[in-house]
Amino acid sequence: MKFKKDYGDLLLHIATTAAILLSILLWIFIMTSDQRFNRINQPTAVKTSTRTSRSLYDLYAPTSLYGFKDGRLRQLYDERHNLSLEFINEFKTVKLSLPRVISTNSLAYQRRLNDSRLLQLAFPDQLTFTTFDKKLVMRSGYREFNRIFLSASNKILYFGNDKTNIIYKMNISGVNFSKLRQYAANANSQVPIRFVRFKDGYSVYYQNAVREKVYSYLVIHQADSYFVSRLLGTASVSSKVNKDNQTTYSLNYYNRLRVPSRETNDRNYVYVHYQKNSVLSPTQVLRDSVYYVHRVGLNEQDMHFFDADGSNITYTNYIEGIPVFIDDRNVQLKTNFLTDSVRVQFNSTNFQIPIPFDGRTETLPPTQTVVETLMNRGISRDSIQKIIVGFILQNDNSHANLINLVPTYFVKVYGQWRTLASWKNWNMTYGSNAQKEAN
Amino acid sequence: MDHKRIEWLFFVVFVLINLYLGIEIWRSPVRLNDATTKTNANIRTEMQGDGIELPRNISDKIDAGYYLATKEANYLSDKVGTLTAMNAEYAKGNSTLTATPKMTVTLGKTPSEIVARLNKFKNVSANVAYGHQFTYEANLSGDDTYAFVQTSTYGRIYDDNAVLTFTVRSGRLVMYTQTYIGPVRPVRELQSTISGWHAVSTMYTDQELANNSKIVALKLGYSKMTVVRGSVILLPSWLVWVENKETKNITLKRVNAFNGQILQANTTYSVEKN
Repeated sequence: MKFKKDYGDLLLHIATTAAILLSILLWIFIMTSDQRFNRINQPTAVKTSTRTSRSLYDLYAPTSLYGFKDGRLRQLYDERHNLSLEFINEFKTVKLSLPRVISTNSLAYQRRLNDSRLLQLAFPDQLTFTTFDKKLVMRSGYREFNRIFLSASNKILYFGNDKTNIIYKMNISGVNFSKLRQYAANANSQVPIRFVRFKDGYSVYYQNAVREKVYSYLVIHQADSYFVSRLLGTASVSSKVNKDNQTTYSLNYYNRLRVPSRETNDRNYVYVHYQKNSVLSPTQVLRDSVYYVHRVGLNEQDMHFFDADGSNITYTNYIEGIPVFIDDRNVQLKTNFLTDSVRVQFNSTNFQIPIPFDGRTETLPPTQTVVETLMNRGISRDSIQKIIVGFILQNDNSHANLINLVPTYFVKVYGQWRTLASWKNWNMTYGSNAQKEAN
Repeated sequence: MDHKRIEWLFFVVFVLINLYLGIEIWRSPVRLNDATTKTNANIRTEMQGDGIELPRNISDKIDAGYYLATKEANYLSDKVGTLTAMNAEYAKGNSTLTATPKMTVTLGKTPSEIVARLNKFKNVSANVAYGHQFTYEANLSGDDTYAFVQTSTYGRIYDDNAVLTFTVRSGRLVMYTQTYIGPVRPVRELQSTISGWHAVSTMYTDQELANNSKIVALKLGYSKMTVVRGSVILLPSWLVWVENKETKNITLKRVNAFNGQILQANTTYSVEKN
C-alpha cells in the first residue's frame, strides 16, 4: 500500500513539474512570436489587408521562365497563358519536404543551367525555403534559392542558388506541372539567350538586339487621406508642414507618415514605424515585409517581390513579366527593417486600365554593348551585380493620367539600380566612394 | 496531507493554464489560413443574421481572367443583307439590329424545347449574324424572352452591347433584337481573380447586399469597363443576381474580379491623342 502511495506521489510530482515546465515553454513561445507581439503592440485597429491583398505565394512568384528549343536556351513568355501564374497555382498546393543539398560545385551548377531537359523558373532575388514553409529549417548557408529547375517528374523539384552554386533536391507530392510544360513548349515568345555570371548571380544575356513593346496605362493616385487612414488610423493623428511643403502626419511617438507636397508631381511617401530593438532573420524580413505591403494598400494585382539587400526588400509591378521602375532608379515600394524601426517608402501610382498595344516598340542593344558601355564609363565588370530589362514609367503628354512604360536596361552596381543612361552620366567621384562603401 | 492537496491544486491550475495557452497558440495570427476561415465564418453568420440567403456552394477558389479589348464599330450594320430569312433593320443610334421572321417559326411548348430550337435557329447565318457566338443565359431571360449572351474563347460577355434577345409568344418566334460588341482579344496576360465568395463578402461589407435578400446566381463573366482610344475595355467581373425576398425583384450587381470593387455605371475616359 505504501509503495502504491509513494508511486502515486511520484507521479503527481512528475506531472505537476511537467505541467509547470510546459506552461513556461508555451508562455515563452507566445511572447517571442513576432506576429503576436506586433498584434499586441498595434496602437490602432488599422485594417492591414485590402480587398486585393495577395498571398505570399503571389508576391514571391518566379518572374521569368527559361527552357530549351532547337538546342538553344530561350526566355519563354506566353501572352495567352501566364506561365508564372500557372506555376504558382500548382506550387501553392505542393506538399514540400526538407531539401537535400546535392551539389555545391559551380561547374555542376552551369551544367544544370544548360540542361535542355529542364525548365527553369527564376525569382528576381534569393528567397529562403522557410519563406514558404516554416518547417523547412536548414543550416546556415543552405537556406536560400532563386531558381527552380523543373524536370519531367512531378515528384522532384530542384532548387538553385546562383550566388552560392548550391543545388537542392526536394521530393514533392500532390502536384502536376504537365500544363505548365505544355504551355512553355508552345510559348509564343521564345527569345534566344544565354546566362552570364555577374557579381550577384546569372543575368540574362541577349546576344542580339531585342525589340520590346511599349505599354500604356491609365493610372490613379490615392489621396493622402487614404494612406493616413490606412497607416495611422483616423483618431489622434497630428500633422506638421515642414519647409519643403511636405506634411508629416504622426500618431503618438511610434508612427509617422511623410506625404509629398501637393504643389509638385512627387508621389513618393515615407512611413516609419518605431518599434522595440530587434534583429530579424532573412525569412522574418521577407515575411514581415508582406505585412507592410498589404498595410500600405496599393493595388497588388501586378505587384511582386523585386530585390532583397539584407534588411531592404523591394516590390514592384511586373507588366508582361518585366519590372516597372517609377523613375530611373526606384521601384514601387521598399521596406527597410532597421534595429529600432521599419521604414516603408512607396509611390502612390496605381495602374488602373491597360491601353491596347498601339504598335510602339523600343529596340534594345545586345547585353554585351551594355557591359562595354559601363566599362568605358569606368565601372569594372566585377562591380556589376545584375543587368535586367525593365520598364521606366514616363508620363504621356496627351492625358494627365496616362503613362507609358518604356523598356530599357537597368543595371545594379554598388547596391544601386539605375538605367544604363543614368550610369553613363554617373558622377565618378561619388561612384568611387560608393565603390569603397560597397567593398 | 495539505502539501499533497496544494500539489494537486497546482497540477490542476497549470493544466488549465496550459489548455488556455494551447488554445491561444492554436488561434495565433501566425496561422493565416485559420484567421481567414474564421473571418469567413463570421461573415457567413452575420449574413444569416441579416436574412441574406446564399447559394449552397460558393467557391472560395481564385480564378483567372484577362483585360479584353474590342474596337468600337457598327458590326451589325452590314449584316442586315445577309439575314435572308428575316425582315431586319439596324438602328445606328443604339447599335441594335431588330428582326422578325419572314415565315412562322414554331419553337415548342416547354421552355427547354424552346431553348433547344432557338439554339439551332440562331446558328443559321440567314437567321442571326454571328449566331454561333451567343449562348443561352437563363438568368437574363423572362417568361416570353430568351436571352443569349455573346461568348468568346475567354468567357461570356455580360453587356447591353453583346446580347441577343428572342421574344416568343404561344410557342412561336415573334422577333429578336441583337447587339454585338465585336471580336475581343486580351490586352495583357492572364491574371488571377478573386473567388466568388470573396466577391460576395465584399458586397456584404460594402453594404451592397440588403437585408432579407437572396443571391440566386453567381457567375464570372466579362463586363465593359471603359472606352479608351476607340477601344472598349472589358474586365472579368463577378455577376451577382440578388433577389429581394419580399418584392421578388431581381437585381444584377457586378464586382470587379481583379480588385474586388463594386462596378458602377460604365465610365468613359477620353484619352484621344492630341
